[in-house]
Amino acid sequence: MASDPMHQFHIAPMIPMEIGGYDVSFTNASLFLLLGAAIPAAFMLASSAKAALVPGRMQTLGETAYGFVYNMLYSSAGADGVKKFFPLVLSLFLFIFTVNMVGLFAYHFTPTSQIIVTAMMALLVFFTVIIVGFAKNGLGFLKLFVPSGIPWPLYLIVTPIEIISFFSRPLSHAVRLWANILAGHILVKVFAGFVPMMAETGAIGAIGAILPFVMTVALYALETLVAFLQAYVFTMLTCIYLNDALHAADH
Amino acid sequence: MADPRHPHGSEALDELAKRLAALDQERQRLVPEVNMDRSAMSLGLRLASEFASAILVGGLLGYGIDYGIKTSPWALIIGLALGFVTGTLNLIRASRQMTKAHHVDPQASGLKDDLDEDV
Repeated sequence: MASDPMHQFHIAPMIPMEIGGYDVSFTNASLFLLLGAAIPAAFMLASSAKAALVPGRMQTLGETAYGFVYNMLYSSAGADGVKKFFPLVLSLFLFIFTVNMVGLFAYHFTPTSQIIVTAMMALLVFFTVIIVGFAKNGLGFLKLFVPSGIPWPLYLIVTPIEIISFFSRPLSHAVRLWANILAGHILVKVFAGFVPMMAETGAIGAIGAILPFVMTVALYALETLVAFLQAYVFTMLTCIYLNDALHAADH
Repeated sequence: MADPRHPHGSEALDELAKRLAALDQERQRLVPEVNMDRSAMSLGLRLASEFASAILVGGLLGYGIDYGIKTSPWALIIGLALGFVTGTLNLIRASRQMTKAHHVDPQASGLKDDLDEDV
């Protein structure tokens, strides 16, 4: 069914495989996840292959991407954060951005529209924050839950709230990226589906079909923005959370 | 060689540095802080997920405590209530962060921004 808006999220095995009773087929999701890793890697290799003093086109692009993420991380986590987390943050950003962008093409699959993908990335950040936080601050990391400067009876309320707030982070972190991509893709598909539906009804319908078509084009432009924006927002929040891991004891 | 429009050596470098600094200043004046949360849908989804996830986690934590020490349903109720409080707090924090992202003219008159930096 061509106009089923959910069809684009269907995972179809390309190379069926099974290990120990588990289905580990190479699916379209695997293909696009691989692309999400391969394209940034190829891009970075190509842009740094000829490291010239006066950068060429590729190198300029690469340096811009690098500088963009560097500034983002530096402004929220400082020099310390850049030294520790830059590879993680740059990989996350390039991966999400590539996957979102590749997913915009027709007949392509978007892995970030599957909550398991975004949840794994959010949990990766979450556990990085916990592990680095304890390794760096020791038990001082727990100060995150006991903000200073309030009268002590309030701790009975504030500490549980801070704990819930901390644990709700990976959830909202994952859901935000997933929901944006999912909703956007469904919206585009629904409006695109109106075009043939209206065109089938005759001459007036065919003229009216211009309206949803214009809408589809407009939404596509918006989705291109969202693809970048959500990669940015995800990375930005990662930076903020990682900053907490480094500076929890200063609270 | 004495052409003032074509300086040499350290003089030239100083000149260049001065011009770069001027250009940088100009650029920062012309290009305001880009607000990345421009799309209304992403803004809405951001706040919604911020709010909903806190309630969900609060409820789940309460349910887990209930399950562990058999106090059903009290911990679930308290957890949900605290989840709502946390959700609201998350909303306030998110919107405060968004406000901070907007460039505010430091010369602008008016009240000083909230003194309690981080609740």
